[in-house]
Amino acid sequence: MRRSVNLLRSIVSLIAPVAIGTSVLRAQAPTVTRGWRVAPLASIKIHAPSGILEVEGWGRDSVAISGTLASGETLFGGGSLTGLKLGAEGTATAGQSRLLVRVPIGSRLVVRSGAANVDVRGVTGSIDVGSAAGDVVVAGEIESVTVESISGDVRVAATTASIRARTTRGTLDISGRINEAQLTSVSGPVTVSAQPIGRLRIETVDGRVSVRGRLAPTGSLDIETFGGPVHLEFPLDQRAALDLRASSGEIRGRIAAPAAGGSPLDLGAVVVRNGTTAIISRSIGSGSGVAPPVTVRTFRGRITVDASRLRS
Amino acid sequence: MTTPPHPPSSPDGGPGEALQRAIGALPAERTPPADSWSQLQQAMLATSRLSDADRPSERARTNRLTVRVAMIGMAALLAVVLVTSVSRARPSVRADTASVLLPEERRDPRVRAVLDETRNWRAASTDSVRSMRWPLEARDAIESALVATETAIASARIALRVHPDDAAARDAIVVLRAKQLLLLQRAMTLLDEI
Repeated sequence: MRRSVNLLRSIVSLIAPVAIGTSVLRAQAPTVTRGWRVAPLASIKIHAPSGILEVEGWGRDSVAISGTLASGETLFGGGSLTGLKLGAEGTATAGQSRLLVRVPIGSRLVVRSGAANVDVRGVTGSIDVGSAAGDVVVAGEIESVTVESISGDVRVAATTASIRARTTRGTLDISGRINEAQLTSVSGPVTVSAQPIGRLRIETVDGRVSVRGRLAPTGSLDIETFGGPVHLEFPLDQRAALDLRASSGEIRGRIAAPAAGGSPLDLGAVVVRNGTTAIISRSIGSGSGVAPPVTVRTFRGRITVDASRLRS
Repeated sequence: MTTPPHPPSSPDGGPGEALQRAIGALPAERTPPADSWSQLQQAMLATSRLSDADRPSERARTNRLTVRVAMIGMAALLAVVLVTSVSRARPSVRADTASVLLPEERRDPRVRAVLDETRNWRAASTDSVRSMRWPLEARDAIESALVATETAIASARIALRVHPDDAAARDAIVVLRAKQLLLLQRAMTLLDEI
């Protein structure tokens, strides 16, 4: 018995270093470095199955990729001056890919990711990122942004003409200067903090919606939820035509007193009820011209509006 | 806990004596005949069987207790898995059950489209080639989203049964069905691209 144990120990002591050595070799991900010449406004499509993908705009007419690949993944790439497709392919068996791709600033960029977290910065052309399970961060001055992640979080901090962002249970966090945006989630919370807000539409089933910022005179705000609560924060001098309906919920809020004088408005006190539906339909703020419309529809959620505090 | 006494030897001497006899029968040569070795092996085997099977030792009791605990644990785990899967599957089942639909829902082409798309989704999810690269988190998120929208639809349906003229509830059902359809279509498009 003792001899068997000793024999077993000897076998283990022989095998263990070999196994550890093999795993160390496997964990050492292969390093990749490659480049392509492209036009300044080229269309570039990048694939990233897993790991981390960073995309950075630079002032050169070329695309460069560098970083490490997970075991089981290989690098591919090819195309022409006006269009290039590159990225990793295969299934990662060990380690994780970490890739940095530098593209011309004005590129039209498309990224498709499986579970990779994607971070895009410094690209001014159009950006379209689709991820199944990864988080997506996009930042910079961008022509237009389209981001979709099924289960990951989406964060956009941009000055842009247009944003389309969609997720199911991830968070949508949008900030910057936005001309037009359409944001959609199922249960993920949606947070917008922008100066100014142009035309903004938000749809969610159960996600919490929070909008903070100044609505542009030509802007509009349109929010639709089923059960998600809606919270709006405007500067105290915000002009807006409120059209708020909570079918089985409630509406509360506080609006600052007009500059000409008067007392602050308690929105809860001016709610009109039609059956179980709470309704507020009135303008806030002062000044001339058409007030930007703020329309909120919720079935079970609660609406709160705060335009009573001084904000930058 | 006391160790029970050894069982009495069998009248013919039992396997222990058989072992002794077999050892004694071994010839003095370096290489004994094959039948002697086979007798010895059989005797050793009988001895080991006796000690394992007929001696209910402390270890055996502990082993039995461990097996019982493991079986109880497995049963509890199985029950939890069953309950979880049943509760998760319920909304999908509800989606596929036409009997809970309101009459106007049955006439709505979106409902049929959603049911078709849900079937497509289930088929695609179980297609090992097509769904090989689909992350589990994403699949789970889509299932959760279907459950969330179906729960919301059920809630609006209840409101509509209580107040048949509730236009908001009717609109909510239509909007949520459209969301389900878009969700499934977008998800499969995106997943097929990766």
